[in-house]
Order: sequence, then structure tokens, then C-alpha cells
Amino acid sequence: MKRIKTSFIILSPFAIGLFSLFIGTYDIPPITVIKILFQGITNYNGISNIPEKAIILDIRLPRILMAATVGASLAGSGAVLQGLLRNPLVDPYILGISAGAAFGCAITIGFLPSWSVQTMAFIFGLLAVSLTYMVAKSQQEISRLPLVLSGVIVSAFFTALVSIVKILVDPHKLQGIIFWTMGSFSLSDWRNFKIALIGTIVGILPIVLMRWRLNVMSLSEEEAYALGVNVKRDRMIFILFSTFSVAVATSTCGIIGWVGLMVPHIVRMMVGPEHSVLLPLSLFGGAAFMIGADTLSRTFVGFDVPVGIITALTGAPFFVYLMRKKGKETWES
Amino acid sequence: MLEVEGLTFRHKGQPQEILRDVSFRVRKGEITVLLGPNGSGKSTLFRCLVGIWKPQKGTIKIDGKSVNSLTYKERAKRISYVPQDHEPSFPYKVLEIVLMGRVSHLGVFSTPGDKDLLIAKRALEMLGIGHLGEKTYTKVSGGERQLTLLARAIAQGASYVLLDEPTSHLDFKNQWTVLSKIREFSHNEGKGVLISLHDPNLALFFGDWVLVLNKGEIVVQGAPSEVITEDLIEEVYGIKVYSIKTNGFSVIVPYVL
Repeated sequence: MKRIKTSFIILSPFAIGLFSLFIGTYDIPPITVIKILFQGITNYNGISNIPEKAIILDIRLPRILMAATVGASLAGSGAVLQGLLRNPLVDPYILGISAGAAFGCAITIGFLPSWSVQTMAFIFGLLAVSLTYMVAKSQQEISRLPLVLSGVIVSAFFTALVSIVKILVDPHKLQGIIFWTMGSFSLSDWRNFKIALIGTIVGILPIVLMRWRLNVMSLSEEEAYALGVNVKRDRMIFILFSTFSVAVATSTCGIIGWVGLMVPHIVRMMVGPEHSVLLPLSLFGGAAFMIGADTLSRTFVGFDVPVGIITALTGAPFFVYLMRKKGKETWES
Repeated sequence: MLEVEGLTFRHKGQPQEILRDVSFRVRKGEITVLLGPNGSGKSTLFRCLVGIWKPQKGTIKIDGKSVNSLTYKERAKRISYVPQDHEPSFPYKVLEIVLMGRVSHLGVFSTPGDKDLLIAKRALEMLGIGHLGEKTYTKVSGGERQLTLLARAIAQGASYVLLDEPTSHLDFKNQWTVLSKIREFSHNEGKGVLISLHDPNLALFFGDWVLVLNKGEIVVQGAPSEVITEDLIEEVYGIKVYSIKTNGFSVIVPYVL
């Protein structure tokens, strides 16, 4: 049974991704899609450069791959932080990264139009997390609760700053800020995908290699210490890499909520809490969920609905359903 | 041998000493019981022994080596510790919990291999709970949980095991089951066990050596039957008791007020 579930999770992003290639606002007959794909794989120049080819290979494909990468990054980081802070309600933004990134985006759109939104979001995302870490450190020992609390404080601070910017800028720019803070893959191209992919690999690979240790890190600090783990060092490593990965993802496509909270949860309900299984499967699950949500966001109505709205709209009811069904046993003792 | 000499500890910025000039030894193959009322400093002593807190004065040596000179891994291979309150975060399986005891034997990027799995399973078998491996830790009984944590300490492979009040949440039968297993393990495997208990009768029955801690100082130590007397209990716990002999054992019984 567990093997079936595992295979299902691993195959789902590929199945959903493939399906997603066939649908979009511009109607392309499935047979043409298959021809174009075949041609793309074999490099055979049979069909002339029809617009459909560009739509499939340069718009839909990079967008799907981008959604998959960002989804994996957010869900993976969510699994790490939930384990590390031993709190199932934690998402990858808990340490202030989203608020920081939103502020970086807001001041760029609002006052520094010649600067890159991506770079500024990335820098301010990292800055916010460093600030959280420093605030938590002022209490001598960094332990879980101060870390979460500091994250809340720093988030509130940056959110207030974003509000100030929103009041000051003109409505046209305001729309841009709001659009960005709800997340979207509409600007995906091969260049953006490569940035997201490299960022995700750099951030997630060390975490995947260290995934079993997350089990020990999810015990009480005293226990982890007594078992021979340098808790401070390991926690720093996990936070550093997951933050980097989320900062890159956020800078490429804005703030997309719910995925990092929900996907690790769903995967945990399916295969159990053991992190050497949970973490890799969360990557696949995150990719699948995000492709699905983005496919909806670009086909649901005539224009691109911010994908953050779709993740919340589809995620919330599904989550309620899961909680009613078998939620308790995943976090209650 | 685990040797503690002149251990003194107080929290940073606080004047009163929680432990004062504590000296004792834990020998391999023996159970050393730590008795003392709530707030006498038992848990603090454990934390100092594992190195979580650094004492201001005194030395702690494991087989001749100072605890604070050891790396995280070296220390964990010599001394293991089961804290008093274990709140599990996620519903891991019993076997998964026990496997975590192997972390000091593994590299940063490794996951447990067949050898570790074998060691973990053997630890469960040794305590007679091999059948629980695939059960969810949060759903087994309190006694089985304590045994799981003991199995994890065994899998860790240390020569000394520290157990902070392992029986405090257990029912009458489970207290005896768990302590019997601990004694079996200590005597058969030649491991040194330091265990804190609340019940002087359990100390009388299971202890090879007893330390009595009161207000941060060791009041007396020695063989249980010589140390645990009517006068001592009255001095330390402040209640009148009498000691009766039955079947060759002494039993402490409080006066009914």
C-alpha cells in the first residue's frame, strides 16, 4: 500500500505536467502538441516554425517546469522547517522571508523602477531571515519558540513597511505590488526557469542529503544533543539552505502561500513522518500540486489569476477534508 | 567508570547554587540510584553530566576522559541520556525512534544502513518489545514508550546510560517491568546506569548503590539497605516512616497520619 502511494506521488508531477502541456487559453489540437513535442525531443525539423510551436516549447513548457521547481522548493523547505521547529503549522515563510521579499518588491516597483524586482526581493527576503535569527539570538540560546516568535515580529514589521509603500504609490504601481505578492508564473521563460532551478538545487540538495538527520532534529533539543548532534550547527545549516531556496523561488514568481504548509502535511498523512521518505516525496508532491494550481490559474478564466489565490482556494477545502478524514493522527500524540 | 568530583553548578546571573560539591562514581554493570525530593537538583545533575550545562566547578570524567573535552559524537558514544519528559513531535514508528540512537555513528549525509537496523532491532529484542517495531510510538503504552527510549539509548552503544525518572508516569506493574529490564540490561551487558527515582522502595530493590541528593548536596551515599533508613527519609522528605523487613527485604512505609 505504501509503495503504491509512493509511486503515485512520484509519478504525479510528470502526469499532471504532461497533461498541462495540452491545455491553455490558446486552443491547440492534441495531435499538433504531440507532433511539436516529438519534434522538440528529436530535434527533427519537420514542421515549420508555426506559432503553436513557440507556445508549447517557449511558453507552456518553461512555465510548467518553473511551477514544478518552485513547488518542490516551497514544499521541501516547508517539510524542513516543520520538522526543525517541530510544528506542523509552520510554512516556509515563518521566519519572515515573504514579508521581507514583499518589501523588497514594493520599494522597487514603487520608487526604484530601474532596479530589478527579483534581486531586491531576494536580498530583502534573506535580510528578513537574518534579522529573525539575530532577534532570536538576543536570548542567548536560540531555541524553537523564540525563533518562531522573532519570525512573527520581523514579518509584522516588514508587512507594516509594505503597507506604508502601498499607501504612498500611485494605483497603477499598487496593482503591480499586489499582483506580485499573490504570486504568478506568467513571467516564466527559460531564463527564469534556469535561475529557479539552480537556486533550488543549491538550496535543496544539501537538505536532501541530510534528510535523515531531520528526524533527530525534530526531537527535543536536549535529546538531539544527548544523541550526539551539534544542534546549533545543524539547525543553522538547515535554515540557511532552505531559506536560500525559498528566497530564489520567491524572487522569481512572488509569494505563493499554502503549498509549503499543506504539501508536507498531505505527504505525511500518506506515508508517515519519517523524513528520509517525507522530504523527497514532498518535493514531488509540491511540484505536482503547483503545476496543477498554475494550470488552473491560466485556464480558469480568460486572464491569468494569481496562482496564490488558486492554491488557497483549492488547498483550503482539500485540507479540511483531510483533517476530517484522518488529520488527528498526523500531529497529535 | 563515570567519575564526578566536586561538581558545583548555578545558572548564569543567579546567586544560588543548584548543585554544591557533588562527588560520586557510577560503575559499569551496576545501577546507581539517585534519590531526592522535587527540586533537589536531580535533573540539573543529569544535564551537567551529559554536557548540556557547564558546571562552574568540578570535573566529570568518563573512563578517564573529561566530558567537556569530547566532541559531540565521542561523548554520545560513551554516555547516553533519556530526559524526563519526552514529548514526541511527530508520530514516528518505534523502530524509527530507536534508529535515531545511531546518529552519532553516522556521517552527516548518511542514512542508517543494514547494520544500524540490526542493532536497533536487537535493542528492541533485548527489552522484549521486538514486536512493537512497526507500531506508532505515540500509540503504545507509557511503559512501552519508556522501553523504546531505553532501546534507543542501547542502540546508541554507550557504556553509561542516564535515565531521569523513567518510572514517574508509569503504573504499578510497568514500574517494575521497566526497572527489571533496566537491571537485566545493566548487569548482563556490563553497562553503568544512573537512574533517578522517587520511590525509596524501588531504590531499595533495584539499586546497587544509592546517592541521596537534597538541596543540591549529596547527603549520603552507599549500599541501599544501609543508606535508606527511617531517619534519612524523615530528614530529606520530612515525613515519618518506619522500615519493616519482609522476605529479607526492607520496605519503607509512611506513618498514617
